[in-house]
Amino acid sequence: MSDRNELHLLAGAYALGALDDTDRARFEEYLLTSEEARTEVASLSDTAVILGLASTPEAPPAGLKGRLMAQIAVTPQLAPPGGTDAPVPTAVPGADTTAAPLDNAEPSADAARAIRKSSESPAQAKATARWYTRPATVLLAAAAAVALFVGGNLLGLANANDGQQLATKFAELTSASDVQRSVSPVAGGGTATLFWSLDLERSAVVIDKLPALPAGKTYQLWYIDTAGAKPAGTFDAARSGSTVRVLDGAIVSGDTVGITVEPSGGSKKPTTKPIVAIPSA
Amino acid sequence: MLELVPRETNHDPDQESVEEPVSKESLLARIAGGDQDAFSALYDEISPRVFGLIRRLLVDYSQSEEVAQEVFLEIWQSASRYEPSKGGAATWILTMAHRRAVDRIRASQSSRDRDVKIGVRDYVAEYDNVSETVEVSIEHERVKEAMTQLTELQRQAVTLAYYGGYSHSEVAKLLSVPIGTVKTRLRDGMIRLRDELGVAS
Repeated sequence: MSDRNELHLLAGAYALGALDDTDRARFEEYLLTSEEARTEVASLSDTAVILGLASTPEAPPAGLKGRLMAQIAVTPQLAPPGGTDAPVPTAVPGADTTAAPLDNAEPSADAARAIRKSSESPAQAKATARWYTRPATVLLAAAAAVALFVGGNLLGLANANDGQQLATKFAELTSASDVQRSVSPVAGGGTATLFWSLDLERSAVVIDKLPALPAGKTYQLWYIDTAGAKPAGTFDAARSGSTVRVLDGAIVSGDTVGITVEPSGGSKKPTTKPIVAIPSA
Repeated sequence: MLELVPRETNHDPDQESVEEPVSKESLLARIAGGDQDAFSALYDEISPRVFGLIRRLLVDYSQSEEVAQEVFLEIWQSASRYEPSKGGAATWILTMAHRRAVDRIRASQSSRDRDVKIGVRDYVAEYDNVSETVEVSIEHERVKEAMTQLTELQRQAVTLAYYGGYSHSEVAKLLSVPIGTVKTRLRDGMIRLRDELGVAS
């Protein structure tokens, strides 16, 4: 009893976050056994939050939001606890742009197969009910995203194609004062986020859940305007996590960025229907 | 003893969201579904609060930026774990921000200046001076007023624990009082504040 009384006295320190790990664990065990303590802690925690709100508000550094927006685009989310459905990405502006008209656009069997491969088996779906992807992958992806953006350390990018250089270009882009972004669904699942800056004349795509292609095939990026499609580089899917790619060439206001599946080495004009097309306007 | 408080003095830390077209709670629900625009809106709305609190604890600007980034990344990752029945969105977010800031302080314990007497005086004095220098929130005035109802020891203990990020045993050392005394003062002080601030219990 005196033990419980002693524990109960910790309610204030607990609400203030002033317990060390050992005492906090003891107190949380005690909380499970005492309705009265839970009620008290709830009200004292609300009180602590008012202490927090009493701090002078201060605008965070200007670059923080841009970095976060880029970071969340490559960071998986936790599914609801005990839920059976993984969170479904909601519709986004520009979501109805999957099938932009392209010259010689013709569905390719390989592309269709590649896209089908990305749909999940029931067992995988069960696993992703807890995580968008495997926990280890989530942690790695989150760690990579943090490593990419915190403290100027640019290692750990999921796509190792260009390593440091890609990471630097991408970080510059997402830190640009005029950086904009647009999200579109990818045929077969997942989303692609386009970041672009007209000041830097640069753009990049971040694609989650991009399936690997069979040998002899590659993904190819395109800048598309009313005159047609200009090649903007080829790339492979990242082995894990999101695929990040800075486009070759300069983006022009109003361009749409498309991705197709092409023979290795790329094509001069798109030969398949794009798996995603993202307008930059 | 929990006392009933008159309804008009009830204070919900999240009540300021009531009159906004989109509540922080509904933004969190959309964020849980992967909505990046909702995240952007929530960031615009609450980041000055989050950053202000973290700065208060860490002081250092670049460390505060790092911790704020961690907090918002955690909001993105774990929005689905937010339970509206357990409290408002601001409560969830600021509790997270405070915990992250305290974790950062404890992690860099060895490098932290622990000049006892001077430290305490600075901390407590700083609190009183904030209102004269910068924009003042309603909560700031209310908390400042409520703080005057605490004993000196309660006030110092609560201030050091919450705004200084000190553990209860550190507070005991800083104030040169037995740890048992600090425990009770922290609890008495918080109960007093709760009642002064009209927090429903």
